Amino acid sequence: MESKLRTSTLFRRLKQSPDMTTFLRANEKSLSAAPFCEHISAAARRRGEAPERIIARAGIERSFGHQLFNGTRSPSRDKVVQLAFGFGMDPDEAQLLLRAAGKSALYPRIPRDAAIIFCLERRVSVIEAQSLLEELGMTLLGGGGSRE
Amino acid sequence: MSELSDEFTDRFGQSAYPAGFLDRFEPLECLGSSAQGETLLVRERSTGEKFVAKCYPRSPEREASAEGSGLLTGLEHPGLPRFAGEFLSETMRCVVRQYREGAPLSQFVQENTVTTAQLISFGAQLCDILTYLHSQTPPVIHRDVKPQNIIVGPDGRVSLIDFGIARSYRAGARSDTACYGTEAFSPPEQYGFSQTDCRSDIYSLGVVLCWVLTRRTDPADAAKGAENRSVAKILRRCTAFDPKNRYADARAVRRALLRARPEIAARRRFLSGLCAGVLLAGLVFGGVKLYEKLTYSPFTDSGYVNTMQTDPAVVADAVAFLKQRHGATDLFDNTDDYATVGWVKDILVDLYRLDETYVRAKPLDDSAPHESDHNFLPWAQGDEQYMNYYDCAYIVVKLFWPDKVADWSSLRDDNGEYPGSRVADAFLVKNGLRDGVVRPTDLMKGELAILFANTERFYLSQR
Repeated sequence: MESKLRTSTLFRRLKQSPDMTTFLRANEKSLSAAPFCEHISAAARRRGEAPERIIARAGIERSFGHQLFNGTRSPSRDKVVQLAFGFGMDPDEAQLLLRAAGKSALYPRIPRDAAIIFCLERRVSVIEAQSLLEELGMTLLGGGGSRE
Repeated sequence: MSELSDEFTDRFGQSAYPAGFLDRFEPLECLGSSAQGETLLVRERSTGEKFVAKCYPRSPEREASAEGSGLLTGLEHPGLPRFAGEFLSETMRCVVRQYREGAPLSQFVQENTVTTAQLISFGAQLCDILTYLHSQTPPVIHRDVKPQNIIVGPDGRVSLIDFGIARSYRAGARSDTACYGTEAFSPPEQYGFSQTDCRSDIYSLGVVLCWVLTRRTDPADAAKGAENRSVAKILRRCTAFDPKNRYADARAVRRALLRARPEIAARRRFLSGLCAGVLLAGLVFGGVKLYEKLTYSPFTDSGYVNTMQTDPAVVADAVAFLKQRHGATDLFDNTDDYATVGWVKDILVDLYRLDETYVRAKPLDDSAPHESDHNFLPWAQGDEQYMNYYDCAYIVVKLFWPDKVADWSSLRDDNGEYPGSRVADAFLVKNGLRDGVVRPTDLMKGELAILFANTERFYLSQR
């Protein structure tokens, strides 16, 4: 399938292309990132964990969580952050997850993002993170954010 | 306070954002950041409503920009996010505007197929916004019109965001002091060739629409890719290198775009076709009429000619017509002779086959002219008398429409002429068969031939 070209094939094509624009246009499909649901399903498989457990730890409602894993729903930025907690990710991994979902990265100059980074660094649970946000008078995860 | 909270406050307690800003808004997300500043999605604490904050480090250059100078705070347009507040700290300025739901045009075109009608709608809406900005005093020039700064709402409404590098036009300034903007969408003058003015935004608008159509930002390439030729022409003009060759203002671009709408273009094509058809039909009709005029000859088609004349060609034509209708006769051998009552009676009998006794009979009572089944002519004239027009009129009309000369109901008074002659004359006048007659007497045979031919042609055309 054209959309699943091997990386070595893409490398070869890149070398042969007369310019970057031609290459990008010709290989548009292969270059687009895998859907977010495949990304998180693969991450769950690599960790040897069932999505069920990750969803529970992320504090996401069960059926909604499964819809995220099977791709019927797209997550908001906050939901991606909650999934990072569910996976037990560190801030760097969480940033990659946000990027994979096409969401803006955690930005430490924003106090709320700083608090989230702080909690991810400490590997605290999503419930503890929510408590910290509440104590600091910040919007809880799931209570705000940009386009779903 | 929990241990976690204490530790966090110790480490991150200080914030660079103005205190008033943080009191009113909670930053939720950084939508973009660069050396020039950050764009934050924020939530108003009291209402929960979302806003967008542009936060810049304070610098003299920035203070000089339109955003910095407060020029944009009063802007009110449905296509522009409403200004919600400005907050200053020693090092930072935060300008807060309404948040517009929707997708940037850059994302919208990846996820949707944009039709020509949609493209024109987007273009026209952007023109409205630019017209509003450019009509400010002094005009506000956005200088960064690009797909990322155009938000397409769920209802298809378009908003123009990010006044990060907008400036007001300064009359007399020679060139922009700093180069800003996004390369592909910026006009040549934005790189210091001259000062940017309203036409710079028109250039960027042209490139944006090119890009939506073709995903290319080279105006030359892009305009070629447009299927709608009118749109391609508009885009070429928007993106002319020399600002002088572009549209003078956004209103003109809007007008041009709306005229290029597919349904309008189709209607225009239909109307042009119709006009061409009507013009062609007019030309053909006019041509035929002109040909007829140039090639006119007496007694062709329905052309009745002036009755009282002796033009040999016209007389010959009339005689030929009568002979063709009624057979050979020698009655017209001398058309220059005076016509007599007897000669006319010969015509009625020989040519028109009326009953000879009826035609030649004189009225029984000759004290006054009168209609009767006994005699065709109401007068007791001698056969040698010369014909006058009124008597002739009576004869030719009675020949074809006997009842008309007996109908005198339309006459109000008697002016000396026999009433039957007067109604016959009125009938000839009404139908254009008497042209040229000014009460003549002593008619020639040729003139009578014309009168007979005229009347008979008309009679035939009426059947």
